[in-house]
Amino acid sequence: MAEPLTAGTTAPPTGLLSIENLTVDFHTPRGTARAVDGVSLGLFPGEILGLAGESGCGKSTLAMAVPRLLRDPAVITGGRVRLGDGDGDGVDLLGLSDEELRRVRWRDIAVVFQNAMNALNPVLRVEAQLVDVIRTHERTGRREARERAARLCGLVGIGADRLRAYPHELSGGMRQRIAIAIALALRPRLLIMDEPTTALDVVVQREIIAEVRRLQERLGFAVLFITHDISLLVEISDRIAIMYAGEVVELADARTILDDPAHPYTRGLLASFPTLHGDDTRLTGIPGAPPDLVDPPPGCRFAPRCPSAHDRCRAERPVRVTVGDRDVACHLYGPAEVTP
Amino acid sequence: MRKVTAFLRGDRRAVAGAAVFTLIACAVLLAPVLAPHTTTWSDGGPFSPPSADHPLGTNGQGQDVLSHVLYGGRTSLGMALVVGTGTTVISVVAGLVTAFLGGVADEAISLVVNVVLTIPSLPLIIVLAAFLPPGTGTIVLVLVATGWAFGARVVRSQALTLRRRDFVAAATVAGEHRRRTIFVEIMPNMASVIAAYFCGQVVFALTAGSALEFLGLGDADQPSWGTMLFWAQNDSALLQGAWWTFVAPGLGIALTASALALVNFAIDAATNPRLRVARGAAARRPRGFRRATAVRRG
Amino acid sequence: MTSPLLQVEGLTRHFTIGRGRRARVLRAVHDVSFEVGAGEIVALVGESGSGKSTTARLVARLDRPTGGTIRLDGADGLTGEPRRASPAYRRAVQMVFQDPFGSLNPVHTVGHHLRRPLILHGHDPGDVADLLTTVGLDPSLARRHPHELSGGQRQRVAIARALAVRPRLIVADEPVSMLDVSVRAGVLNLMERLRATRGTAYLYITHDLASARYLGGRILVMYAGHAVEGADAATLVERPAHPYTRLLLSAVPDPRRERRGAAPPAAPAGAAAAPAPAGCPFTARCPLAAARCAAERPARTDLGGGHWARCHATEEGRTG
Repeated sequence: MAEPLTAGTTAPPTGLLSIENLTVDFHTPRGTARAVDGVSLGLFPGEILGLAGESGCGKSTLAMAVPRLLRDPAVITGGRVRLGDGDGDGVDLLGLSDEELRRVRWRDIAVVFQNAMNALNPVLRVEAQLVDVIRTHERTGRREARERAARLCGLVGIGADRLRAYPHELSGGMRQRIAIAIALALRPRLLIMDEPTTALDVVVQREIIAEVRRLQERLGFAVLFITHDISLLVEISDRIAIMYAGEVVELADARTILDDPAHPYTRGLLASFPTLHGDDTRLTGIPGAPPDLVDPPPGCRFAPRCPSAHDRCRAERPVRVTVGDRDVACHLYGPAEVTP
Repeated sequence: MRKVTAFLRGDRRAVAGAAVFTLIACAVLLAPVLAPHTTTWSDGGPFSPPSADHPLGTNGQGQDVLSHVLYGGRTSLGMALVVGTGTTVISVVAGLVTAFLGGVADEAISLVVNVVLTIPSLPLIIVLAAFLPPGTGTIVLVLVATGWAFGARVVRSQALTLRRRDFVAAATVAGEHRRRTIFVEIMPNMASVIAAYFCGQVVFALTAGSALEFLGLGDADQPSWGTMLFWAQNDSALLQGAWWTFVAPGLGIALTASALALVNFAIDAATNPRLRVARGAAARRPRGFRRATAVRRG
Repeated sequence: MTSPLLQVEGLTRHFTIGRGRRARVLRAVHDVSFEVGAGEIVALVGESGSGKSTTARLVARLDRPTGGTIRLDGADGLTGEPRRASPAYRRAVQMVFQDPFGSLNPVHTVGHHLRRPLILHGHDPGDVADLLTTVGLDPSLARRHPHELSGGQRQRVAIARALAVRPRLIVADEPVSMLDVSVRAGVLNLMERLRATRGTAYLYITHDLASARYLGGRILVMYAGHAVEGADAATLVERPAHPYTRLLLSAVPDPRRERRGAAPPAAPAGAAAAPAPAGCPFTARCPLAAARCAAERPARTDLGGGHWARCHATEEGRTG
């Protein structure tokens, strides 16, 4: 097997979660597509890390690989996902048995999906679902679980009167709040949110985002927030990782990504969407389309669409290196000579 | 066409089913060449077991069973294909008309469909076949009359779903004629449903038609797989230990039906656009709760 | 005075849901009026349920309004052609749909999609290659099927199909919302280029105020079936008058805004409350609501320069 080409030069933070050289393959009839290619990424306790990229870049695959929620054609083929336990090395989620994993999910890592209806059971009242989650994972009396369910609803700004409602009786925003309440039921340390507001209207999106921020400051959990909407990400995240064709091409503080993007892809993304109050510059977008992951281009995967590409980009994969206060995988910034 | 070859290549069930059916169809079509004797020829020795002269033995009248299977297959397969085509055409037309005309036409045809669907079909088939003059034509008529209703309902519901799709609205905005929208834009999207229904109807017609003939409701002088079974029963072949007179036509029916059923499954899997799209999109949308096999690398 | 290209007046579409006693009327679009001049872009902005897409379908004549008029070049199309729109109307007004995966027929080639409108409206069916070039696609794509194309390519095909009849107005219903971020700009720029070179006017339906501002032209804000405010794009974004417009603007993610920003200004509690049919539809959520708002529908208050709002508070000079 080929050596991982994008080993991050920075050691993953000894924080809450560290993803090391994670590789996920999709076995398709046309061949194997490497959806996540040797990605290393760390999360500190209590931070919001945004993961951005276009559809097919592997951002959801990466996030779902953490709690091992990937579905059939996707197979984790390498790397480690360590969940910190305060001291020592932590525990490698990829090595856990199903039973051990079940305990980690929800108690340590919870997930909120784009469509809350995927997480909610349409034939059960909201209260029953919250009680179920609490009682499956903890030895709790029905009565106490009900009280906790009511408190959880209050936490996400939903009145106790809605506890008796069925999911279809709630608006999209309320359903997403309930999904968040269920995710937070066991006080997880990490909340993975996969496009949680994409299906919602902007006003509701704003409310949910504000709610997540508020809860995060109060309860101290960390968030891995996945979206294609980079402007939303800049608002909510502490740090942002930009993914392209299965790799993290840039990782930096949210402000740095916005004010001083380094990777040409990040720059392209920022020049792709109009803003409300910015100057009237013409948007350029990014020409071309993402590569076919079954047969990716030899050098940098962004080279065919990159305005700054040169010969080396088309021949050699760039390695992610730390430049100033950011990590970037681009020959414009990497070491000058060819690495062996 | 590319779609068809692609699905043939990709699905072993389809390959097997299509191969078996083609083999049977060719054998039956080439009956005059392949059959050692005519269907009326008799050597006077009833129930002689399979031999070099008669690879499948002879029947109660001393006629060659292999020749009967080959010539009889023409009647049986022909009948099944005619019934399949007839029911499918009526189903598609009735389904599309009700879906698009709406109003009184929809109500009237839907009423007929519901009435036909409510009556238990097998007793109805037997009663109808018993009242009408016996013969292959009667069987075809009866099977078509009772077989179209279910298909009409399936086609109607499919068409109602499809007509709400944006590409239909887009055709309307482009100024496309209504009839063309129905038959060129919408109908091809139902190809899998229609093809699957056709296969299913052929299988049903083959088995039900043979059953009617076995019960003596067909034309006993016209050789077919069903009448062969009828005569075998009539001549007490089983009591004589002449298993070949049952097994040969029975295998013909069973093999043909199984082959078409295989093709049917494969059509469903290959031409359903959802499944096709899902295959392409799978690489992009990993969701769900099934645990992936995790491999640790040192 | 010459009449504008499209003149919509008092457009109303009510749906009856249920039957018999349980039936209730859903007022999807209620008394909406606007004009689109030749080569002009008018954006209808609103959230889901605002009636913007229903309005688009009404203008594209895919649905019949309950009331109101749609005039093309001053001629009322609805009374003359009650069942179907005339070929002349179809030639003038085309539509691009939101979902490029649903608006192209999966069984037909790209070429088929472009050839049909050309043939139906008496153009040369050989123009397919030209059309593809116009929208920035390679002519060889004509032989491909939709599933072989990316989302951005499909939406370009959809635009090419609309262009085939050389329309003067294209109703574009959220044409970029389902596309990847990096290709959205390309489609928006294509629309603008076609406006500049061919004088194509657009009725641009979107939930995204920023893209409406980017395209320029006029913006009409819709809420619960009502048009609540209208102005040219810059004015609407910089000096919004209606409390709902302000709420919408504050909700748009804006990377330049101070981070960890406060929750939106309006109380979201009554978000699902049904609007009083008599009064202003925004009353339940409005921070400036007064007794009058629930009882009486506000009239259009002219704010100068083509800027107007339907709001009692604006009319009375109260601001938030």
